[in-house]
Amino acid sequence: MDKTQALLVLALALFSLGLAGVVVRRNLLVMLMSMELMLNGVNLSLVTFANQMGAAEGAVLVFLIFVVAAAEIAIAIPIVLLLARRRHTLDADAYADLKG
Amino acid sequence: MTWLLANLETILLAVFGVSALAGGVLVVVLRQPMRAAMALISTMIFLGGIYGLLGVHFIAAFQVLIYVGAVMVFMVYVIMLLDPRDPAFRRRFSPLLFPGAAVALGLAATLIRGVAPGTAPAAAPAPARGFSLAEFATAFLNQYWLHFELTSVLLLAAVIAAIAVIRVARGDHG
Amino acid sequence: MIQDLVVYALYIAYAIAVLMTFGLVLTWVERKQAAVMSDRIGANRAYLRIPFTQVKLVWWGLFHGMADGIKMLLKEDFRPKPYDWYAYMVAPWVVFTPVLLVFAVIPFGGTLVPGQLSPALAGWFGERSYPMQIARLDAGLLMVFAFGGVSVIGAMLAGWSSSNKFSLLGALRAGSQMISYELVLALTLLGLILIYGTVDLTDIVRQQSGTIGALPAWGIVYQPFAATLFLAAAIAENKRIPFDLPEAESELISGYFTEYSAMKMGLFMFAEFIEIAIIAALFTTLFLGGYNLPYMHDGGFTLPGGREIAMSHGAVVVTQVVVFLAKVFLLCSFQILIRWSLPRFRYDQVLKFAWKFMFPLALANLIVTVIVVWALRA
Repeated sequence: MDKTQALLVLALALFSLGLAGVVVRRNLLVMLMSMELMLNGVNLSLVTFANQMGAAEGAVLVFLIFVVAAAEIAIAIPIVLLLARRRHTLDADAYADLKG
Repeated sequence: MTWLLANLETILLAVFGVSALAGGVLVVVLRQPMRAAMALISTMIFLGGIYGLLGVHFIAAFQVLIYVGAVMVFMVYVIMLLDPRDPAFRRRFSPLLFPGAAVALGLAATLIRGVAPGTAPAAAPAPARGFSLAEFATAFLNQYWLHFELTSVLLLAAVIAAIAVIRVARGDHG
Repeated sequence: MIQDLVVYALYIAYAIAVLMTFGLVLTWVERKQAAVMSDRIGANRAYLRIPFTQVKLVWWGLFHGMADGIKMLLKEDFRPKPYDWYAYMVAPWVVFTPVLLVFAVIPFGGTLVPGQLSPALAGWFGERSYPMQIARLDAGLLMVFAFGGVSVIGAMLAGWSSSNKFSLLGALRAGSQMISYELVLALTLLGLILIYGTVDLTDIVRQQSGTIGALPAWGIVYQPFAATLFLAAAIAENKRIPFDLPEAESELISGYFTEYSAMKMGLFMFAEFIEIAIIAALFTTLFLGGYNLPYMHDGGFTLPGGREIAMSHGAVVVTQVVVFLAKVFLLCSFQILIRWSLPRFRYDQVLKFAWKFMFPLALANLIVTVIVVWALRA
């Protein structure tokens, strides 16, 4: 297994861990952090491909993903704050109003 | 000693990779959100180290600067402000624990089998190398200027949305 | 390979020695300079007695720094019942480490060619030359910003994990202040990056080695306004007076490090003093020409009359290192001067100053720089 394959395995493992975190955890903030983990896995795979192919496009896309992730967090956290202020809890199960 | 120096890159890559993975596991598993945040910060810094080893130092700098220096600061700020006696701490996992874990494992296994089937890959079309900031900047502003402008519009939208959220928050309890 | 390792290990040892010495000496400079400014004598009680005599060495109060260090080490390491013991333990290190790491990208001298230092070394080193910088990265200035962002988290973790409302207030203030001024810091430097066309600190120092007219071609001549804004933003980032609300002594006891004692508290204070030296080193590198003196180049001096003063390689290296340290020391004294002259800002004033005053000014500086550069190149 050469360097590229090992790094891709790591990136996919991080992505799956992030996905597991979003599905499995109750706390809204930890779910957000798992989403960031997923984004980091994707970034790692992009940088690995950019390194392997010698193409600068990978690095550019990584930079754009940084910007998008920052913008996303800047909105997601205030939304979580407002929700938590209404229900006084961060438990995701308390927001099951649309269920059933 | 010379073996250590000759294979230093591989050893460091292995160490950083295993530590990043351990941090990722800790993010999903730890009960307290602040500790999960610290684990995520350590994962991000180790990933920055991996980017540095791959030769893209400016991406490593941006990773630490944007992710750790802005995104995680915001996350730590919010965890500091919210009530620590939240019941979500006591019940850590949702009812979807086993199906969720099984799906994630299956996804990981499928994807990893597709990427690293056990046979050596064909030779890469260009030799693996890192980039200098000059190359990146030229590519960024010559070919991808439209993406750059669109992301600045996205950031403007994020700023306006954040101000709107503050207005709503003030209206709620004001 | 081994030669590279030896030289870089030497650089790292030099960096750590310089930073630790600056941290210790600056505690003494702060006291003594404050005393001189207020027409007092200053702290001069700590002394060393030569054994078997009654001769007491006072040395203008230099031993107070040593006494402080020993006190920090030997004090009782009081442990409150923190919210989160792991964050409590880790926070001082998260604040201390990035401050040391910034020095890795700062050039503290020109190029070292060990082969020209002495014939004995020439045999082993051959023709290798090493830039006197621990890490020669083409994104040096970005690394500086990156490491500056990491210490914010340490300050916030420290305040949150001590279960103390005053510490929490200090942590919130520290976090908001540091993020706001980090942004201003980056903006003030954009004009400079535009003029020099690079973020590599070695290149920036090299481009400052000429003269324009009678003045040396230093950054402060090209961007004087950005230099003052940078210094103000950097002092705010370091949470020194006049921006030291997060650790305001008369308001919050000790702010976010109230519940820390002995060595951990020592780490926080030390990090703050070393950061004074780091800010001075950054300002020197970006605006004051780094290790350069006017008319100096790698072989000696070339004075404007055409006269050449040739110097051996060892003399050139030593001159560059000494010049760098002297400039850093002058800037540290200047920061201490500011600290003992100005009163403290109120907290809303601190944030208003960042967002409503310095941010527009930095943008205006950038716009003017862009217009001037474009006009001069057209």
